[in-house]
Amino acid sequence: MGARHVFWASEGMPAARVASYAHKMPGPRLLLPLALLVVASGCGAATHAALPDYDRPIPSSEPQAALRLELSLPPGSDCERRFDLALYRERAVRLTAWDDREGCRQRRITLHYLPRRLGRPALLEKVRELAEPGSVKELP
Amino acid sequence: MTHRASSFLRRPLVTLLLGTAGLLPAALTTWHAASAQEGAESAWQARQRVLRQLPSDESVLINVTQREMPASPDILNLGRRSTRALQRCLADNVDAALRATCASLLGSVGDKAALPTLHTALEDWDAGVRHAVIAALGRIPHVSSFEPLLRLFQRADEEPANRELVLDTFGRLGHVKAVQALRAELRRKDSSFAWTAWQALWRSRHLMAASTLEQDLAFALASGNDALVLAATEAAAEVRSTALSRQLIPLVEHPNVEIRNKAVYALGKIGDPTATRALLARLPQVREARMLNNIAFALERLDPKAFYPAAKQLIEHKQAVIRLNAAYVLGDVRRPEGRPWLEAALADPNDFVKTSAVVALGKLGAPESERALLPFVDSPNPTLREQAIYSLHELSGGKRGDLVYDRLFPSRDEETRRRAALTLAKQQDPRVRDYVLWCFLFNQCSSEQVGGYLLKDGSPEVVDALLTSFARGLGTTAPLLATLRPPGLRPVAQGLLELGLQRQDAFEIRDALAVLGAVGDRDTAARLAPKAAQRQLLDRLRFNVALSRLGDTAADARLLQDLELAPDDWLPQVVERLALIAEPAARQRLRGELERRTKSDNLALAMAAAAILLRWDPDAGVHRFLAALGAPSVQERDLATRYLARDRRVELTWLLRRALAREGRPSTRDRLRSIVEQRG
Repeated sequence: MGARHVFWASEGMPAARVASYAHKMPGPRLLLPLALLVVASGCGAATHAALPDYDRPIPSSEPQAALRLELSLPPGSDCERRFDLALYRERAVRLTAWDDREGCRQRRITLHYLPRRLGRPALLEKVRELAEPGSVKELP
Repeated sequence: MTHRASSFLRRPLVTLLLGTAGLLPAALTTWHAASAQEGAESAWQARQRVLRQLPSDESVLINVTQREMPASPDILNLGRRSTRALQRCLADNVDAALRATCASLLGSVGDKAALPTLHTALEDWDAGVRHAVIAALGRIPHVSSFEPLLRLFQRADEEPANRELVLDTFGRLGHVKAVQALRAELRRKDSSFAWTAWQALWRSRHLMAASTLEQDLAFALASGNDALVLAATEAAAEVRSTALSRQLIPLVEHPNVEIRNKAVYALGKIGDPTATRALLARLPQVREARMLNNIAFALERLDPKAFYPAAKQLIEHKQAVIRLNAAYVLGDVRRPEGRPWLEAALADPNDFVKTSAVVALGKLGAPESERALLPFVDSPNPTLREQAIYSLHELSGGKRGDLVYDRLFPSRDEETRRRAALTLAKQQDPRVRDYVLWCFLFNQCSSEQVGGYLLKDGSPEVVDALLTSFARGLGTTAPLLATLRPPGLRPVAQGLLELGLQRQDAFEIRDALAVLGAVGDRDTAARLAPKAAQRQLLDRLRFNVALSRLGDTAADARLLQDLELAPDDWLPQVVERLALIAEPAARQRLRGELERRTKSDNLALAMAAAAILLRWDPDAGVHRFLAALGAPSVQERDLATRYLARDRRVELTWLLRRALAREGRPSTRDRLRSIVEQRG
């Protein structure tokens, strides 16, 4: 058992990246021609869209804005991390910069975001959904 | 008769000849060393001569003895220029110890050009040399090493230690066939190397289908081999498949304390509710604080409603030590359900339990607890008093600074005083400035603790004290002064550099160059340039970094040259030095070349270049690391993980959380999650 189940996992890399690693692939080298074939046949975009996604760089030309808040987080041993992981699913959030305090209450945060993709009111609404009810205050 | 006689005579003769031949290499080596000693050249001179010849004469190490062999750091200092001579040493030197040294150095240098020589040396007659060669192949992982290593592994007469090291190296190759060999060894009956095979397999886990990895994990968890079971429980916490709960639940009762703790931890991380009953059943039998903590965290995740009634029994337990630990745990899970019991525990007859409850209430952060905590501010027990003040400070959102200043800062106990000062320094309280400055200058507080405070303060008193201390050789002041740039800093730094050079004090040279790179001028650059040449690679880098910061474009080229030349082992130190470049103009000049190198086939170089860019700009640099964490190469994944672990900046933590939230590649997500959780 087992040996046949082992496979070469490219983990959904875009075709260009698969090609750049092809010379290092010890396994079935047929994958490279296949990947190239997919791209050459014009199906590249469709394949790419079907692949698992990951964090991507933000173009430097994209306008950015910041929002300073004080809020309390739902209590828990990893409240700050949970909040970040939930908020970062929104790709318009570029960075959550926290104060240097610990704990879940009365924390200060600066949200750097991309206003073209998500407006300030919509972002505030998302934060309110994730924070303790009634705890979100805007700071100057 | 004649024939028998001649045969009789011949046998001892053959034996004698063979014996002599066996001793020949050692005898010749001794003779060679003795004749070398007879000359006028001292051992040091001989080593220097060999070292000088090493980059240009590939045969120079063939006939050296231990006496003439240069020290390893001196050889590594030559970087890739030493590869050819080291290869010849491994192939042609008769001294086994030297061959092993050369093999080991080839691994440290990391030059792929050495692979054919290393493959041949797997047939070396000396087991120690073969061991060094296998280890070197693990440090220059390449698929071409698989077949020669497999042949060695399959030899029945190979040393067990070498066969085990081959398995470890298999895990570094990133090769599907190596994974197959490891899986076979893991499942081989009575294998002595099952643990090593598993560890190696775990390194290559991204090459396996998720279901295959789960099958192997389940096998390891049920193996009965304690070392293997422990490793598998740790892995299960990362894989987080509910399919593993069935194997993990019985391990909660395992006699090995490590295994049962890790099993509970893994069940908590997996979050499978079927484990709740087993954990609740275990809770009343707990006899260690760590287990209590692990069960609490697991239950808090699996079923908080089931946990709190059980926790109530513990905090009301007959034994104080259990009450104490229960209070601690209720604080650590930071959920409001624990507050009433913690407030009740403030009336406990035992001061340790009370203190634990006071600290826990501070962690919960509910302002409603203020009233319950206030009486302890006047407690006759100093520890209880101190913890109550900090908890109140915490509950107020850091607004009880006066209480900390009035009641704790004047303490005659140094620990109490320092903690109070550091707490107030976080809020930039000017009342503790003198103490913080003293604490820093006398190495009682670190730059991480108070550097930000001193920089923000920036008062003449602080600047003067820092400058004076720098002039007296206190290097920890250098980064702060390089930021503050007070008048008079440059001549002081230049003087310190001259002194450091005369005294050959590497620390003084380092600190002076760090400052001069920031505040130097054209004159400084002219003085530094001649001193940069002819130095050891890592020292030379410091000079060239300072020169590059001062705008010297020739130094840029030398930096890039040294980056390519450096042995793989030294690349993290090279990164540290280049990361110091803070000047936008210098970064701009170097960025393009570094970005080009991040795509190099030499993965150690590629990730070192990426790490420099990450230090300069985490937001832009993190994406190369995300690609590396999802790369097919084990080496690339491992290097990315190590460089990310070395960089502890909080901004990088936030960026890695962002990456984790958006990561869709399963095994990359697992690895990223592990990195993020380790950072807190």
